[in-house]
Formats: sequence, structure tokens, C-alpha cells
Amino acid sequence: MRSRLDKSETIFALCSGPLPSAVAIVRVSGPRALTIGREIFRSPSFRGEFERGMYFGSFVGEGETPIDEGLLLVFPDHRSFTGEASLEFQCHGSPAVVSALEKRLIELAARPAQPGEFSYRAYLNEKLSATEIENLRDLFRAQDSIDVANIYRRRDGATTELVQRLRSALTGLLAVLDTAIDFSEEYAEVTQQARGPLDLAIRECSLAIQRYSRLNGSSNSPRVALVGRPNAGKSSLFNAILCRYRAIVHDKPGTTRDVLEEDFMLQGRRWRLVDTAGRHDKATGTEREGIELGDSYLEGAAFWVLVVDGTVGLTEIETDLLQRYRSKPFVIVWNKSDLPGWTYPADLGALPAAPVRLSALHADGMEAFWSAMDALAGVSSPSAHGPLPTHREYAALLEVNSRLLSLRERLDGDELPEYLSEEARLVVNLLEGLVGEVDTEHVLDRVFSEFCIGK
Amino acid sequence: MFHVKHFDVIVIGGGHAGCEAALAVSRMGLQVALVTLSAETIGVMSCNPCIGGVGKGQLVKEIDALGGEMGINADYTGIQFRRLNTRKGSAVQSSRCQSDKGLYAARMQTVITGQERLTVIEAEVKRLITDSGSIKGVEIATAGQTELLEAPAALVTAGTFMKGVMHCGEQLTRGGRIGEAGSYGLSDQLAELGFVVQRLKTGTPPRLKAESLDYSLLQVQHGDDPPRRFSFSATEIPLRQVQCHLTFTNAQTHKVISDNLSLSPLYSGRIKGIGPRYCPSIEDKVVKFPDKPRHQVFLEPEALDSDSIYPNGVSTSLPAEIQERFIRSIPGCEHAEFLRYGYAVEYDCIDARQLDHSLESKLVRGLYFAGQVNGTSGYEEAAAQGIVAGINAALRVQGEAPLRLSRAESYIGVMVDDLVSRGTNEPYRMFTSRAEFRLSLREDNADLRLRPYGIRVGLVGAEQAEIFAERQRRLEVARGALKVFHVKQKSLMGEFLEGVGVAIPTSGERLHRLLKRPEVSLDLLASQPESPTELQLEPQDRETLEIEVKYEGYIDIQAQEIQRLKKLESTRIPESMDFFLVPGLSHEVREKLTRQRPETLADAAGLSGVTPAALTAILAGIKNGKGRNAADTQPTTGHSSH
Repeated sequence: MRSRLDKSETIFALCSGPLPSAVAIVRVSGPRALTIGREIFRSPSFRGEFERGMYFGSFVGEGETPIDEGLLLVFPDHRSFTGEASLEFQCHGSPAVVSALEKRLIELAARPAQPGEFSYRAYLNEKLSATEIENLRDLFRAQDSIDVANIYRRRDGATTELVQRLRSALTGLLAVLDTAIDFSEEYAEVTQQARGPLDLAIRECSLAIQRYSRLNGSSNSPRVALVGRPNAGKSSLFNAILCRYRAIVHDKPGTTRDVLEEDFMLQGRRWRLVDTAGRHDKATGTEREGIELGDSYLEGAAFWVLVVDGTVGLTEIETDLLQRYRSKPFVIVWNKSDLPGWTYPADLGALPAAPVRLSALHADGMEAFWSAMDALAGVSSPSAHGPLPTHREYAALLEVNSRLLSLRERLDGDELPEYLSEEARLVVNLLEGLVGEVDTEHVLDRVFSEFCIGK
Repeated sequence: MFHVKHFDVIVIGGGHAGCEAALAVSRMGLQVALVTLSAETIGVMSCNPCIGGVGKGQLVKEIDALGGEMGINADYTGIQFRRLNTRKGSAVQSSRCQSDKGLYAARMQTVITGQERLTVIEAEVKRLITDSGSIKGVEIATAGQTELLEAPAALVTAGTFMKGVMHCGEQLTRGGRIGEAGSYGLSDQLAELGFVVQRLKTGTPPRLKAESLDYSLLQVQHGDDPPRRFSFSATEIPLRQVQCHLTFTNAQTHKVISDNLSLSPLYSGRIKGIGPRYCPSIEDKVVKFPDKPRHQVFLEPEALDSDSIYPNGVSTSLPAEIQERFIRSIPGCEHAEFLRYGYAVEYDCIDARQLDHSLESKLVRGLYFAGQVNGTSGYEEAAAQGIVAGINAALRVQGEAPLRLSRAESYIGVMVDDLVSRGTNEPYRMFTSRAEFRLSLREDNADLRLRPYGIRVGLVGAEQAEIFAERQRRLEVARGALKVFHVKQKSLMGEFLEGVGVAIPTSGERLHRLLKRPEVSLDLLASQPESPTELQLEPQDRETLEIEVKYEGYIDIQAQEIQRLKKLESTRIPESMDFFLVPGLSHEVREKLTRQRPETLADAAGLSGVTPAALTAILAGIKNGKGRNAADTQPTTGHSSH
């Protein structure tokens, strides 16, 4: 299934360097580019029709919410890099601004470009010769690196269970529809059996969308969660890891109510460090919510750090956490070694792993901590923990969801199987990036295992 | 003492692939030898007495459009014609016919022997003669003598005959078809030449005596009335039309089979070859679908005058005595007499990934393969490859560039591309679901898609070419009329249409837009006295026109994709390209490309894991010569030598 040949869609990508930066450039290309420009761009002097050129004004989201101010470059016709209508948004290089802009673009039915896709369109539209493409190859590499985690994951062939179930439901759907056509002498009236896999696909698709909405942050980096009782020193450790003062450190328990997040580098990769609210039994109100939010982050984390107050030792709360999340890699930190009441556990056998001695406040013992983290980063490749869907995948999921719903209506309306099947294939093409290729052989495998074929 | 004879092309095998290949070569003006073990078995239907079916009907139409014989032969020898999938949509409709087996083979033999420049030679092929990577001829044995046939191109269509072994219960017989010897030297030589030889299996049901069956309680299946022809040429359906019957297996049948599974070579492990999942033996059906209470059995007459019935659906290799017991448990077959028992046959085939899209082998230039020997199953699949390989062998001898049919324009293109780029590990059969441009690859427009190729290579004669040009003109004029003709609300036609529930806007409406509505047919529009005379068309033209208009949205989307695909298909990757020297590719992609050796950018795009970024890198490598092996200066298109 050859979705990569499709240029009827409008695509976009951040084409400047890593964020934050002074200026970020988001390029949009495809048939809907000008419409999208009119939806986002605002300026008192703008009359509603673009000409080739540069415009200064503001960018807005849904309901005219401001996103940023900046420059908009408009290429209304084939005279552009890709040979089709294109825009370049030049905005401030803040991750929040770019994320809001990307979100808006998805809402306006653009989809994130695949690595190399702009140049590929330029080739399809005969704007670039092969030699010119070669000169641009370094640029493709830059685009690749934006999505490093994704590429790693696909290379490893790893998919989450959720995605596998979605894929299986879609394959099942195609199998039924194609059986109705290719084996009509054996199975004349199977079309309505498509309802089962279709409903399953719709359910899996909404699950994936919910999961994205719940866990979506501005970063796609795998997460590392700091967990522990209140005042165990999580925020101190958070700061020690980031080597700067970010979290508000206070000796009053329960200071951290929100979830704090920052990126840091480990083993040459970017990770997202998440400081969660402290855990104790009597939490109420805002604190309670903070803890629940922390739980959802822990579930989405690649690995976690249990911060234990070494002047207190293990309580039921730590034991409970170790029990619940034992399948996820973790490191235990025996914090506050600078304080007089601190004692290292005498019986290590009672613990699942030897704790790291640390004074987070004085960054004392950090070498041992980093080597433990290095080891965890090694085993926690993004594929091992089930990655978050990316913006690109989110866009695909939204579209797939609405197409699946309309497919169900058409199935109820007794539409001809050949149309239903065509639509189902289109849906599968949209999801190819997420679920991997679903080709005829996969569909036939299902046909032959579920239907007894052969006159 | 060697006799030496010279030909342009030698075709080995006289089955459905061999017939189309030999006819194509000779009709293109070249001298061809058709070498067969037995001239009596040319064009024989070894298994079911039927041509076409879902996906296969499209193949027959395409063969016919190119100028092949199968569709014509089916029309003249068909005894029941049906259009399948009439309720599944217009694009997936397929034709199927029951043939009189004896007449089918007899007519094909008449055509073959009557064909100028075609010599039939009864002999076994002992050896292929090759010299520095090219075919030079074949050595044959006939009546104890060895002869040498020389030719710059040869075509292997060995069917199930290479190392064929038949299984019926515990009884093993060497041979490719019941009562016929196999061919035992060829596959060893192919292996020596570097071909990967694999083992496949297929089966056939027993044949029952018609007068021993009781039809009184069975479901009758009628053909279409009037029957519709396969061929785009002016053929006829001269034979009397018959009916088929449908019956079902039951619990007793299944018990007999499961109690005796240990006697089936399929289940005792004696058969090692892989059989087709879409055409399983009755043993397989009973074992794999134990919950299914019954399986269909179609009782199909094998000929008008013969007494033989083909029970479609009960292919088996159980011992004769068990076959009798389970068949006689089926309603209508209680007293069935056997003319022949079912059997399974194992045979050698090659890995088609060693061929290019013209079906020429990459190992030995000038040597072509077509049909079951490439791992396919079915008469139609074989014939389609036969005509492709035949045309290309002839083009090669004539010094012309090969004909490559695209996935975007034909089922034949889909099949050949699947075979040569992905290979197969079970007998490959055509399904409509294999074609990504299914809505554009229809039976009704097979001629519009492929006739021009048939004309260009010289397979379609001047008379047929003129008939085709006429049809194109009629369609063109009618398309124009639909776009131009405007139905006014206050006209006879407007009032009539409103009267049958077709609303006409006050400003009137063009016919083209009216026809897009689901409730409006071209018949309805054409039936009006005011309607333009250009719409007075034959059913065949009307069908094409109506589908074009009604499917316009889908077809336009596909047409854009097809354009892009064709651009990629026209970008060839040099044979000498070393993907390990192309910068910017991952190691995995390099290995995959090196193993698969895609011929064009489209082939590369079809490989899993090849991203747009990788494609641009390959493209860059093609143009700047970075992937070019320094020692190699082969041209990048066509054949490396003639």
C-alpha cells in the first residue's frame, strides 16, 4: 500500500533546528496550504487573499486564541521548493509556541511530514533534479533527528500492544470485506460480519487517542519519573540532575503540587525528567490530584527513581510502589546522607536492589547515581516501554477515527463491498506509519485462517 | 550424430502458458518450436473444467486484449457462462465459464497446428545449452535420438512436470499428470545453473460418472441468459448451455475423512510441498474448520457429451477406497461410480525473484519462465505469464526493449510484480484484493488498458485494431455528449425524468451530472427520444461509460496515484548499482536492496522499510553515479546484450 506516493495531503514540519531557538520555521506544503494560512494568519492590512510574498502579523489558534507574532512567507503556486502551494511560518523558537502551531495545523487537516517528504514532493513535481536532492541530503538527516525516538522504534520493529490490537482489527476488517469479493462463491453474504472488527478498530482507535490526550506533553522524549514520599528530596534530586535551580526546594512537606518536567541528556539521548508530587496517605484536594497525575506519569514512564528519606527508611508507601511498578525498571536512592539520622539499610536482602547513597541537596554521591541511571537508560530503549504516539500519529489517529465512524454508517447503509473495501484500505494506508505495513499477504493470512475457502 | 535445427524461440511445454507463448511469438512473425512430451495433451485442462472466476476473469480479458487465445477458446468451447459479483460493485465483477474440456483442448490444438511459423516437436528436453550466461538452445531426446534445437531465446513452461510425483493414499507415482511421465533432468540442471528450486503441491478431486448421480434433490445452478463472451474480438458462443448442481458434505463425510487421516499423505508427512490455502483438500477443510458442519460441493460437467463430473470442492489424496466411502456419504452421490480417483501432485518450481519483469531470468539471459513453474496456480495465471514471456522473448530476438506491464494498468502487471519482487511460498493465485488499483482494473476496460500494447507489438491484427479504434471513438464522442447535453426542466426529457423521480433543477442539468446520481442509469437516459444519438450504444460500451462516470471520484484519485507510480516505474536503477556505495542508506535497507535488486524506483518503493528519504538517496545515487561499480559500464536500460 503506497501511501508515500500520495501528495493530495497537506504536510508540515518544523524545518529549523532543535528548540528552543531564536526563530523557528514551520513549513507547510500541499493543496490546503493557502486555506490554512487564511485560518491562522491575522493582520489589520490583510485582505484575505495571499500573493507571493512576506507578511507580518499574528498567528491564532481555534477561537482566535493567540499563538505568536511573526512572519509568514507565502508561495501561492508551483513556484516553491516543493512545486506546490507552500507557507513558512517564522515564529519564536519556543517549544510551547511551536507545539501550539503544530496542534493548530493538525486541526486544520494538515499532517506532519515524513522525513524527506518535502524533497520527495519536489522530485515528484519535477522541481528538483536528483543531483540537487543529493545536495539536500544533509537536510533530510536533520529532519530524521527530530524524530529519533520514532525511528529507533520502527527499526526495532517494536509496537505497543495497543497498536498491535488496532492493526489486527483493521486487518480483520479488510479480510471480511475482501472475502465478500474474492470468495463470493463460498461466502456470498459476509459483508455484515465486518461490523465486529470495525467496532473493535473504532474502540482501539479511541483508546489510542485518549492515551495520547492524557499523556501528551510538549516533548516526545521517554520519561523518567521521580517518585517518593513528601519531603524525601525529590525536588532536590530533580535540581541536581538538571544542575540548576528549577524546582522550588523547601523543607515543608508537600511543596510540589504540580508535575514538573524538564529534558535532560543521558547516554546521548534526550529524556524527560518528571518530578511528581510526594506520596502519603492523607493527601487531600489539590495534593490528591497531583498524586493521581503523578500516577499516570509513572505508568507512562520508561523507568523511575524511588527517592527514600534515609533518615526514615522504607514505609508501606515505598513497599506498595515497589510492588505495583516492579515490572518497570527503577533505581532506589537512599537520600539525605548529609543528615545525622541517616542510616543505610543493614539487610539488603529485603530490598529488590541495592540503594544508591546520596545527598541530593549537596549533589554528593551523584557519580554512583549516574552510573545506575546509565544502566537503566541502556535497558529502557523507547521500544521497551511502549512509546507515546507522536503528533504525526495523533493526526493519523484522529482522521482514522472519523473515517471509521463514517465507514460504519456506510456499512449500515448497505453500500457495495467494493467501496467499503476501498475506504478500509485508505484507512489502513493512513495508519501505515503507526501500525506498520498491512499488505495483501497479511489480509490473506486472516482470510484463510478465518474462512474456509475453496470450492 | 546430432541433428541441429534453428528457431527464433523455443517454448518448452504445451500447457496454457506454453500455448499463449508459442502463439504470441509466431504471430509476431518469428519461428518458434513448441516442445512437448505429448502433442495430444496440448491445451489440456488438467484440473477443473472452468475458465475465469473472481480476479481470474480479469486476467482472461487482459490476455484477450493483448491478442491472446484463451478468451477466444473459452467462448467457442464454453457450456455455461456466469458473471460473478454482480451485487458487490461494478469494478469487481468477474466472468467465469464451464468449458467442454475435450473441445477446449481440441480447438487449441487446431489453432496451434494451423499457426504459421509454429512447429510442434514431441520430445523430452534433456538439457538447456547455455554459453557465458546466455541461452543458446536446448538438447532434446526423441525416439532414441538426441537433437539440438538452437535459438537465441527459450521459454520454460514445465507446469507440474518437473520432478512430478503423484500421491493417492500410500500409492506413489512419478509423473506430472495422471498417466503421463514427468520431466526429471531439467530441475537438476536449473539448480546447477544457480536457480533456487522449491517444492510445491496441488491436488485434484476424483471424477464421477454422471449417470450414477441422483440430481433430483440437488440445488440447480443456471448460467446467465444470455451468456456474455470473454473476447473483445468477434467470437460466438456456439455450444448448447448446461446447468451445474450444488450439494454439501455432512457429518458422516467428515467422520470418514477424520477417521482415515493417517492414510492421507498430507497428514502422514509424506507430502513435503506446500499446497494452496485457497484451494485446500477436503482433508484440510475438515481438520482446520472442525466447526463447519458442511462444505459446498459443485458438481460440474466436464463436457457436453462425456459422462464425467468434476466434484469441485473435494480435492483429496486419500486412498481410493476411502474416497469412495466419503463421496458416497454426500447427497446425490450415494451410488457414485468413479471414473478416476483424486490425487495430489508435488512438483518443483523456481523462485520467481530470480526473474525480471519481462519474466526473463537474471541468471541466464534469453531464458524465460512462465506458469506453474514460477510458483503460480491456475490456467489463467499460467496463460497470462505465457503471453508476457512470449511477447518479451520475441521482442528480445527482434532487438526491441521489453514490455513491462504496470501494477497500475493490469492484473497481469500486479501478478508479475508480486512474483518477481516478492516471490511466493504457496501456489500463487490471483485475487482482486492483490490489486491496489482495483477500481480502475476492470473487465469492461481491459481492452482500453491493454489493446494498445497488443497492437504495438503486432499481436493484434489490423482488423481487430480497427474495431478497437472504433470503440474508442464511440466512447469519446459519447463522453463529450454527456458533458455537453443539457436537460431542461421544461422539456419532454426533463418532464419524463421528473416523472420517474429524478429531480431536475430549474436551471436544468447536464447529463453527465445526472448520471452520477445513484438512481440514474445510462439505459434510462438513452431511452428518451430527445437524448443524443451518441448514447445509442452497445451494452459493452454503455457499461464502460456508465462505470467511468459513476466512479469518477475514485477513479480520479487512483489516476493521480497511477501517474506518480508510472514516474517512479520509469526511473530505472542500473543493474550495476552497488547500494553499499550509496550514501545515506541504513545498513538494513542496503542489504534488502542488494538482495532484491529492484529494477526501478517503484520497485524499491514497494519494498518494506524503504522510506521517501531512502528513495531520494537512491535517486541521488543513480544520477551522480556514486553507487556505480567502477569496473562496470553496462547500459541502464533494456538488455545488457543482444
